[in-house]
Amino acid sequence: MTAPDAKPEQIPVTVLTGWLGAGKTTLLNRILSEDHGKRYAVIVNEFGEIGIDNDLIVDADEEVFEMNNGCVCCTVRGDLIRIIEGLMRRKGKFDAILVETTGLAAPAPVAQTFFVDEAVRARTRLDAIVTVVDAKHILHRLDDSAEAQEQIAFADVLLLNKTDLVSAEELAAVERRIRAINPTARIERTQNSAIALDKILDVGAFDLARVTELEPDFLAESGHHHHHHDHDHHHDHGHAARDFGREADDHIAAAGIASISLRSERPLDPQRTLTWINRITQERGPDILRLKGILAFPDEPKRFVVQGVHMIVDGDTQRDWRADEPRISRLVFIGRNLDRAELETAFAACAA
Amino acid sequence: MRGVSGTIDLEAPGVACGWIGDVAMFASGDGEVFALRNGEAARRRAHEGAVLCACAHPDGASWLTGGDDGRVLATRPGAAPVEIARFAGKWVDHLVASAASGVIAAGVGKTAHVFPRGAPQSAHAFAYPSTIGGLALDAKGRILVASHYGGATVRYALMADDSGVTLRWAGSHLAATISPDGDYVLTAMQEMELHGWRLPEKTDLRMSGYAAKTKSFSWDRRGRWLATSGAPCAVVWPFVGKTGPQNKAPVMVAEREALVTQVAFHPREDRIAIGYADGAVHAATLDPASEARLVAPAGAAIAALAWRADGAALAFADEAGAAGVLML
Repeated sequence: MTAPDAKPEQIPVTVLTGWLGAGKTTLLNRILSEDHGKRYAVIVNEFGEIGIDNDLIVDADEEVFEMNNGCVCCTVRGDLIRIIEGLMRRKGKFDAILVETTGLAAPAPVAQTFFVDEAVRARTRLDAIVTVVDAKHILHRLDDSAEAQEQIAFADVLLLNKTDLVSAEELAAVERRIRAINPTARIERTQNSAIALDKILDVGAFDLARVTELEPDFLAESGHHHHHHDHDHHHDHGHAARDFGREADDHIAAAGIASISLRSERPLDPQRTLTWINRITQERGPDILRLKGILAFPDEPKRFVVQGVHMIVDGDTQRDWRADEPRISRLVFIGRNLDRAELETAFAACAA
Repeated sequence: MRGVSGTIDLEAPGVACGWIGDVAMFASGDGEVFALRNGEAARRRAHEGAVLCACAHPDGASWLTGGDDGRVLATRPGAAPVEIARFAGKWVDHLVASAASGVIAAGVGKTAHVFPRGAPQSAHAFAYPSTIGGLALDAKGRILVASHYGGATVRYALMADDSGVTLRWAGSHLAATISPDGDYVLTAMQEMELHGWRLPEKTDLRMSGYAAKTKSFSWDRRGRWLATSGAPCAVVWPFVGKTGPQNKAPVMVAEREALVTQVAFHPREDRIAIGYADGAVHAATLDPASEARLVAPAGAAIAALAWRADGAALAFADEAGAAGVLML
């Protein structure tokens, strides 16, 4: 994932994920019907079955293709590549693309399509993955669906929807649970998918220059704090706490997605840090769903930001560290079977 | 180069061009078909959406277009388009046709619909395991190749119950071609390389080193050379001898900084027209010193090139909608 330079001619793409019934179609219709002057091309599945009113709707097949490039987790959506190429023939007729995925779809192939395919990358940029979550039912979904976990893990923005159907305690429990999976996404509480569109469109979630604006939630999370969340969760939901454990023989743990947030107050050695990030994402790419970090290197006035999807990693220097800003490096992994002790040790060894 | 006999603005991305006799035909992303004769353009609304593919009808009198409105249309120069087929809610991604056999094949999703000579509608359809990446017919128009995920399938186009020969290779196979003699099948892969099979042994060939996916294939008139797009030069593979391009280097013609997006061998001579991503069009022989510029780079990628049957004129169209005919 070399920096996809924000070229003006690149069409922004927003991916909408979420379980059936979470409010995804309502959100899609809100985006399309609001008076924003933008024309959208909408890529959906089985559009005959849901009512969407838009000039340009394309039916997708969700064809997931493995790339024959030695990258074991590298899958792309072949139908998206074909559809986007076809849509480019209508260049000038639309301003942005919305991709709706089914509740059963894994988000990784969709995201990777925008980084792996040269032609798609030249013409579009993935703006953000927006996941709509049904506050009432999500905890049950998370217990039995790997896809539901992945949709939360991959999200840049989480719409915690139907908040009117749950109590304040239930809502807090849901937030803790989804935070444990994804500490970097921005959570928006909604009813009936009602949200200001500037909160979900033109987010620039994959734009390295804008990575840090997601930081408020980032800052709130740190190592020990996190354990505390897990502990709370144990009380709320019995066995579910083990989802975040490391027991390899536990099938729930094996399917469970969790996040690990690392921090270092000592500056990091750039060579060692980047070599390690490259190595671990190559070796553990299938288990690492997403990765985000802001790193401080000695004698480097600028912040180094890094982010990745599976084995595709991108990093670059960004703005200067502000004078009043502590030079603390943070790195968040979201994935499966992640060994906190191993990651902490390796990260600590990157200190300059 | 003697000059441009006519240029037109398609007012939408150029998609395809071709010839019906001495009339140059162009199709745009806005669904329109243009017929350019002696510098005069006749413009017709054809598809409701974008044109995705086009080729000459086997009757030689009309031009076929397939669109994202699911329709296949036949347009005679200066006449209104006539609907040949409609696949509601689908995209017609690929069209191939042969004057020799009269066959037309349309690639629609995972299905190839076959129209025998003169048939008003599709006589039969072939199903594939995934969406068709590319279609091709051999010189006689009898053998139909379809590429797809995991390889390609070769069938006799007119044999409705032909279960076909499956050519396997892991990965996603896109644009496809078959040598005029039917001995080689080649596909462009998602991984930016070509895969090939020599028939009937199914011997694998791998041709790598491309910087983009190959979109354009062109065989020379004797079927001995295959020109390909996807590199900063036209990559031309030799198919003489028993083993084809195996262990042989390609000839690399007319290298520039911009990638080659279209290639078209001259119908009567050893010359290639080459279109680039920056909008330039060059002509070259297999001798690299022969290169000559035909069209200066205008910025938008060349989307289509087509020689008139006598080789005295070349039609071109770019992604910004600039199109025209060069008299050579």
